[in-house]
Amino acid sequence: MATDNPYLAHLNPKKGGKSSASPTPGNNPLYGFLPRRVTGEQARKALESDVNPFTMQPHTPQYKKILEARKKLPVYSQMDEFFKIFSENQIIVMVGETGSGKTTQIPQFVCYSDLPHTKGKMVACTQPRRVAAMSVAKRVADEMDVQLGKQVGYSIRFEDMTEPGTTFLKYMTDGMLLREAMNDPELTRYSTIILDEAHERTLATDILMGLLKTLAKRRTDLKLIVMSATLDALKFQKYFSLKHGEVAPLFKVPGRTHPVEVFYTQEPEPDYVEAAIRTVLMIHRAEEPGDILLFLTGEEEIEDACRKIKIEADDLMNQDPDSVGPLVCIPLYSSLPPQQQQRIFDPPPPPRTPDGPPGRKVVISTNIAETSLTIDGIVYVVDPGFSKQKVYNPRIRVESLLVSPISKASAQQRAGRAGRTRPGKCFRLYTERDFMKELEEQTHPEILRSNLANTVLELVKLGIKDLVRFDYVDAPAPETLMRALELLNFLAALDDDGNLTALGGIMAEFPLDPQLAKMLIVSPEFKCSNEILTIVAMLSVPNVWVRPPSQRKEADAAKQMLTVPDGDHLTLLNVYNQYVANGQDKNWCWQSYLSARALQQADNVRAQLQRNMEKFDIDLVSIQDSNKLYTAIRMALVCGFFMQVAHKEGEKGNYLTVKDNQVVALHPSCGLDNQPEWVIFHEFVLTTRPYIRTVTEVRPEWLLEFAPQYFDLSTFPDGETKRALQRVLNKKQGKAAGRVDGTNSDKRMTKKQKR
Amino acid sequence: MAEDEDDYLSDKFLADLNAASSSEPKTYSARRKEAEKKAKLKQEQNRIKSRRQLELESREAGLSKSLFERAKEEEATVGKGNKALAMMMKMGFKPGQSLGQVHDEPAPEAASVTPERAVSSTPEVEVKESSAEPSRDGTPFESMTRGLGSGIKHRTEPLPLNEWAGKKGIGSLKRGPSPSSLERMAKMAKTTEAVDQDTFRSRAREDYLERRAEGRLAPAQATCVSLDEKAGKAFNVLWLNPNNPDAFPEELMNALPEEPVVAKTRRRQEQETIEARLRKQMKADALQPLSPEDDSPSKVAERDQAQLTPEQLEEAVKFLSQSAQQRLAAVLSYLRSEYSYCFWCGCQYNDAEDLQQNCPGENEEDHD
Repeated sequence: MATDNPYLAHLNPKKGGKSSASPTPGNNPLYGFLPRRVTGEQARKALESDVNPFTMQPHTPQYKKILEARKKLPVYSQMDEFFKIFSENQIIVMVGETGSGKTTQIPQFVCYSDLPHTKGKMVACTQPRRVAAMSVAKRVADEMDVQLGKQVGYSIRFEDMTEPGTTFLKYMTDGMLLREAMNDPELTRYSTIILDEAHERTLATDILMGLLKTLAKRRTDLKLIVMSATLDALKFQKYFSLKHGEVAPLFKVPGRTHPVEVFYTQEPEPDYVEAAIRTVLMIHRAEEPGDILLFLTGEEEIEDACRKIKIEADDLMNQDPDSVGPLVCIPLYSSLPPQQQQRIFDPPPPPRTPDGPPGRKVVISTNIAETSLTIDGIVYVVDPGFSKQKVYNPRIRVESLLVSPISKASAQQRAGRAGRTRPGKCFRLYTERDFMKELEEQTHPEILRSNLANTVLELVKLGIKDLVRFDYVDAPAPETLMRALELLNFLAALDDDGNLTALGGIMAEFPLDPQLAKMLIVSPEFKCSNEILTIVAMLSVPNVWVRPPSQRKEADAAKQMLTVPDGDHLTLLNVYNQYVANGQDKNWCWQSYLSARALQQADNVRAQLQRNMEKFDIDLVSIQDSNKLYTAIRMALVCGFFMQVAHKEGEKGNYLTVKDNQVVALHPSCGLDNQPEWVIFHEFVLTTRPYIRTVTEVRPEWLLEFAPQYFDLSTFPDGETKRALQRVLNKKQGKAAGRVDGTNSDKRMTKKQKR
Repeated sequence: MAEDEDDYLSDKFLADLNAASSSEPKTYSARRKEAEKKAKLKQEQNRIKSRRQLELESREAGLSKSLFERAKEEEATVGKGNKALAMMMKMGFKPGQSLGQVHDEPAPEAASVTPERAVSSTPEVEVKESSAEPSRDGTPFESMTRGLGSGIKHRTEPLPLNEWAGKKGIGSLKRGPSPSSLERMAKMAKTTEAVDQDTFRSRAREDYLERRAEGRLAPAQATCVSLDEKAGKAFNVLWLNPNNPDAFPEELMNALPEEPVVAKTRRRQEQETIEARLRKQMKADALQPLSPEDDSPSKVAERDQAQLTPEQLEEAVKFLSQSAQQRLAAVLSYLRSEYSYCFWCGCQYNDAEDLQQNCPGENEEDHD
C-alpha cells in the first residue's frame, strides 16, 4: 500500500523523522504528510509556504496573487471536507456548478493528498474537449507555479505535452485515457483518476466509467473521482456503488448562484431565431444593465443572428440615443479560433457619451456555454430550446446533424447561467406546457447517438471480450454494436469469432476511424502511402474551406481552382500539396479561402501519423506518374471505404447507397464535375436532406476485386445496383474467357449502362 | 460529333432571341416557347418534389426494419447468417434484448431513495448539504431526479431520427395555440389558406357559396343566441356578425385591428372603389384617443371585469377574420356538439346519440 512506500519514510516523523534522506526536512512544506491521510489544515499550510513543495524552489510573487484568487472559489472553502472524504473513500462522486473551481482545484488537492510524485505515479484528470484540457493545464501550471509540460502537463490526440518521470498531474481528453488503457488496461501509472464533466456523457467518458468501475475492484489502490456539473449525481452514485445497496459517497459544492426568474412565451414560436433576436432587442431596450447570453445552434445561425442584431440594435440606438446604449455581439462556437473565443471575456462596450445609457454585451453561443465555460456578467439568458445534435442510426448507417430540442436538464443548466453574478432572468422561447411535455428529462448520452466502430475496436484491443454484457452506464442499441462488429469483420480487424486479428491490432494503434486506419495500412501496396497519409490527415481535421457569407462567390471560385474533378479526396490531397508548395504561407491560405489553422493542424496530424506508421514499418511511397497515382489512390480508398459506396440510379443525380438502398444526393460542396456511376463517400449525413459528403469516383471492378466479401452478389438484395454489378462481373468473366470478343461486347455493355 | 453542336432548331437560339427582344411584342412561337419553358420548369419542380418523396420513402423503409429482421430475411433467402449477429449471439445476446448488465436491484426500491437520503446513508461522509438549494425557478427538480433514480433500463432499439423542421420553435409543430379554442381555430385557419390560392373559377363559385353562407349565417346565429341564452351564457364569440359591428361589445371594437378584420367583410359587399378604400384608410389614420382608459379608467375596468376575457377577445378576432362559410361551419358544429341541434333538420335532438342516429348528416346535401 501507498503508506508503506519507502520513498516516503523520511516524511513520516514516527518512522524516521530524523533521517538524513531529506536534506532539509524542515524546509519541505510536505514534511509530515501521510499519503491519503492529509488534512485540509496541512494542505493549507503547505499552500501558504514560501517554497514550492514540488520544485523546492521559492514561490514567485505571482503565486501568492493567484492563491488569493483561488481562496475565493467555493471549492476552496470546502477543502477540509474534501480531504476527509478523499482519505476515506476509493470512489467519490462530486457535484459542483461550473465556476465552483472544481476542474482546477480538485486535482491539485488530490496531488497534495495523494503525493503521486513521491511514488512515481500520476494523477489524471480527463476533459471532454481538447481546448479545455490545454487551457486548464496551463492555468493549473500557473497556479502551482510550475512550467507547463513539467510537473503539470496535458495530453490530447496528436499532442503530448508531458515529461515522463516529472509530470504527476496530467490533464487529458477522455479519449486519450481510453487509448492509454488500450495498451495498459490496468492503468498502472495512475494513482488517482478524475473524470471531469461526467454529466456531458461523452462516449469516451461513458466507456471509461465502465472500465474504471471494474478496474477499481481489481486495483484497490486506485482512487476515482467522478465530477459532474449537474444534479444527476445519483445515477453515478448508484452506478459506482461498491457494496450492494450502498451508493458511492457524494461530495457537493454549492455553486455561487443567485435566483433566476424564468419566463416562458405564451404561444409556440413560428421562428425561433427571429424570436430570439426580438427577445434580445427587447431586453436591450427595456431591462436593467447586464449582459445577455443567447443560445443558438451552429456557426452559420450564430453569425447570421450577430449581423441582424447588430443592425437592429444600431438602429434602436440611433433612434433613441438617450435611452438605448451600444450593444456588442460576440459569437462563440468551437470552430472559432482561440483568440476570438477569448472575446467573450471582453467587458461590455462603454456608453457612447459619458452620461449616456450603459453598453451591453450579447454572447451568442452554441451549447459550449452551457456547462463548460463560465462567462461572468451574464444576467439574461435567452433560450430558444434547441441545440445541434448528432444522432447515428445503424439501420441505414446515417449520421443526422439536426437541430433538436434540448432536454429539461439542459434548459435548467442554461437558465443557471443567468445567475452567476447577481439575480438574473431567463427567457425561454417556448411555453411552460411544452417545457413540461415536449422536452426529454436528460440529453441522450453520446454512446446512444454514436457509431461505435472505433470504440468497439478499442474495447476489443483492451481485452473486453464480452461487449454484450459490458457494464454500460447506458447501453447502446444492440444494432449499433452489430454494425460496428460487421464493419470490423469486413475490414478484417476481427475474425468471424470476434477475435482481434493482427491487422486489427495495428489498426487500433492508430487514433483514427477503422476505415481510415485500414486504408493507411494497405496504401503501400498501391504505392501511394504518402498521399493516403495526407488524405487521412486532411480528413481528421476540421473543414479547411472558408466560405464567408459576404464572399461566397469568391470563395467558391477559389475552391474551384483547387478542385480535382475525379474526387473530393483528391482535392484534399491537392490542397495540402499546394499549401506545402506555397511554403505554408498564411497569406496564400487567406487568398485561397482556406483555413490556415486547419491546414496547420493537418500538417501536425500528418507528422504524428507518420511516426505511427514508422513504428509499424509501413513504408512511405509514391508513384511519379500523376494519372497512375490518382488511380492508385482511388483503389486504396476502396480498401477502406468499400462499405460506403453509392450507385447512380436514374438520370437526375439520384444515388442509392449500396445495400441500405437510401436515396441520397451529392452534397453541394462536392467537386465532381459529372455524376459518375459509382462513388465512395466519406460520410452519409442527414441535414436538410440526405447527403453524401466527400465523394470520389470509383470503378465497380475495384469493388468486386478489393472487397469480394462485401460485394458478394448472392447476398445482395435485387435491384438496379445488383444488376449493374452483375454486368460488370459478367464482363470480367467474359474477358477472362475470350479476349477476342471482349472489346466488342464491352462497348455494347457501356452503352447499355449509360441508358 | 454532331451531337455536341447545337441543332439549328435548338431553342437555345430562340432563348437568345427572346432575351434580345424581350420588350417587343412577342410572336406566337415565342409565347409558345415561353409556355413550354414554364411547363418544363414546373415539371422539374415536380420531379424535385418526387425526389424528396423518394428520399423520404427509402428512409422510412430503411428505418422501419431492424437489422435483426434483415439478417433473418437474408438468412432465409441466401442461406448465410449475419456474422456480426452470430458474434453477438456467442456473447449471449438474443435479438429483442438490450445490451449491458441486468441489474438485479429492484427498480421501485431504487426509485424511493431520494438524493438526500442517499447521502445520509453513508454517515461517515460529512458533506455540507447546501440547505439553500438554489431553486432557480419553479420547475420541479424532484420529478427529474426521480426519473433518474428509477431502475436502469437499457435501450433495445436505436434512437429515432428527427426530421428537419426548419426554424420552427418548440411546440409549434405539435399543436396550435390555446387548447380551449384550438380546434375551431385550426379548422378556420385551414380553410382561409385554401381560399387564398384559388383560381378564378373556383373563386366565382366561392363567392356564390360565400353569399349563400352569409344568408344562412344570420338565422343560425339567431338560433345560437337563443339556445345559448337559454343555457345561461352571457356572451359567445359565435354570436358576432361582422356586418353588424354596432352590436359588438365595445372592448372588442378596441381590440380589433381596424382595417383587416371588420372592413374585409364589408369590402366584399361594397365592391369597394378606390375612393372608398382611400376614405377608409384616411379614417384609419385619423387621430384617435390612445385608449379609453385615459378618459374613464374606472368605468372601463368595471366593464372589463363584467365581460370579455383576453382569450375571448382573441378568439373573437380570429372568428371575425374568417369567411362566412367558415363562420357558418363553426356555428353549426357548435350547435351540433353543444345542443345536439341540427340546423338543416331545424330541430334539437335529445342528445348526441339521438342526433347521431336520426340526423342524416352534417352537411346540407345530406338533407336533400
